[in-house]
Amino acid sequence: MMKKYRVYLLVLVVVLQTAALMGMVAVKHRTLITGKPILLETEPIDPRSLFRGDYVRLNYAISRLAYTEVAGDRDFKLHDPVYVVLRKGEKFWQAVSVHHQMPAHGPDSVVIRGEAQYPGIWVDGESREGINVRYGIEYYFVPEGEGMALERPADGEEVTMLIAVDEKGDSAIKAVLVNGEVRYKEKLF
Amino acid sequence: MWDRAYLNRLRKDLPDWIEKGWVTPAGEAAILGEAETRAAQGIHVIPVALAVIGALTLGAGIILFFAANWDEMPKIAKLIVLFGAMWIAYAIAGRGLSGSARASSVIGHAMLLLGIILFGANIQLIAQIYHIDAHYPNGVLMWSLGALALVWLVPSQPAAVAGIALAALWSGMETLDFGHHLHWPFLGVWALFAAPALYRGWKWATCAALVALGIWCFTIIVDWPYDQRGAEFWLLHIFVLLGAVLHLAGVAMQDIPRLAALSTVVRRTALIGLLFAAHFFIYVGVHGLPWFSWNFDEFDAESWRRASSASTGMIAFIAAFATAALALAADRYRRATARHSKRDMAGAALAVLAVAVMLVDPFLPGHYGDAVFIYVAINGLIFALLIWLVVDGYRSGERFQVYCAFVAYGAGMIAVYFMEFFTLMSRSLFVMGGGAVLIAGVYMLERQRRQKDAAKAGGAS
Repeated sequence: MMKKYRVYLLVLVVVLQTAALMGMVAVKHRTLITGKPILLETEPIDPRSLFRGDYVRLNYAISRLAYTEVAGDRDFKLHDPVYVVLRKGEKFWQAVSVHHQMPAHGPDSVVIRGEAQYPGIWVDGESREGINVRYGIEYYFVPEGEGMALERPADGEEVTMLIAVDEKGDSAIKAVLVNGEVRYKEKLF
Repeated sequence: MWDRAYLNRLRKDLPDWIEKGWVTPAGEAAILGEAETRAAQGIHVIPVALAVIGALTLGAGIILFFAANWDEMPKIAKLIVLFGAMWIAYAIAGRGLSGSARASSVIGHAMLLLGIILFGANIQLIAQIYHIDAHYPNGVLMWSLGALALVWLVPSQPAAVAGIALAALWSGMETLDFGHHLHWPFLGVWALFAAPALYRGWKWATCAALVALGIWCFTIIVDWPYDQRGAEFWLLHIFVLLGAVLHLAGVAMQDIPRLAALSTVVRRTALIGLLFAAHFFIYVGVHGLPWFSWNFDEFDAESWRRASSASTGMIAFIAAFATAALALAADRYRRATARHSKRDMAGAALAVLAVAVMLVDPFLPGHYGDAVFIYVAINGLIFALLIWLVVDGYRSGERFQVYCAFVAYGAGMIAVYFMEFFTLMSRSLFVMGGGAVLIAGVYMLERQRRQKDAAKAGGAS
């Protein structure tokens, strides 16, 4: 028979596990609330996974950084942390430099943190020196049957993403926009 | 259920034992009375199993119901379902563990396991609901740590087994998917699971911890960087010695009252690990030798050098584990018997020889001849060790050891048969020689057994 204090300890475990799960939500929501909203250009690419439900896999213009087009560090290895300084362009935010550590930056720019993927990128069928970066905003889960519409938009349709980036460089998807209109918006509940 | 089977067996056997004068009629009544009482108190496994299966099926149906309506549900409803299911599982677990009957405890632990499974499912589903796309091994680590909290605070052996398996999965992801060739943090988490398993005498959890350690070692070799290929050979030295250390530690545990109950599981699991690692010494490639026949014309043995030299770190590890293995082997030798048999002395000599070869190996210049010498020496020692394990297991009544040695022997024979390094004739001679040695060994052991039995029968009459 279980001693009475063990029941209290079981309750403590349940509280700890619940807190850990709520912590996941809280950390993400903090980024959404405190982060600076930026609009990113997307390149939808891929179909769905049986294991993860219906989701859109997104590639961003800032996912492939050519060293000829961005300043900063160069010697990134696989899975290295990457800090990318973004500045607002005509419509979308664009990468201006890439760093190993959080760089100082002005109020007109944000720094987004990612993870280095394989070096070397393809631009217009040509291999160029650069780095592929993963930011943790590459997947967006949508209701069943709606993924394809975002992955392969009809002619003339433009899918863009509103991303929140906080002071540490963490990012979260704030909204999905189709032709500039909000299609999905993130809420706490 | 098992007590009932035992009772039926007793009912059959007792009349025969009374007839032989081993048990008195009064003793028969007392034995049957005791067995009947135990059978009445025992767990009725089938109802418990059906109850658990029923609970799991009901749970699966409820999950599917919500899955079918998942998209239509608002986030708050999804969270209530996820947290609610987990809390209910733990509430039933708490209720079950508070009961006095053993069946109630079984249900309690089953529900704890379900709670852990739901905790893991919640990590994945909350990540999906809130589009959290982080470093995914961290999710598995978080899951494992959730189980660890149960292990330390409640405690629960099924939770420990699940948590250790998850820790191994986490480490495997970090190693194979993220290139952490030596994922040291695993050992920290592993120790946090292994310590309560040893302290509480949990056999299944101890076995799971040792298997997880073996998987960790295996993934290190599998994912070793290509620019350091050849170092697997030195890693095999370390892992074989680690297996030997753990096996001998298991032997030493026999004399430690708190750990004695775990001695068998540690000895046996470590023996499997040791033999599994040692098996790879059979493959000529790990010695740096060419995979093809050594009569291959284009192979220039003179210009050959070993693919990899051992780093200082590797040599330090080999030396440390070799020292520990020797110390434990000496301890086993001391405690075996007051007068050492030839078998004990042969075992000690084999341990010293194996350690000597492994310690000398890193300091050899690495010419072709050295590799061939090491190949023959190590595999000769493994072969001798297998024979010794058979003899030792046979004499000490440790059948598991005998079976393991035979399986390792068979696996070795099959590996050699398919290796192109040897010519067909040398393979034929090797396999014939191995078979002959085996038959001779079995014949000698059987003859000795019969002699012993005859001596016993003579003494009795």
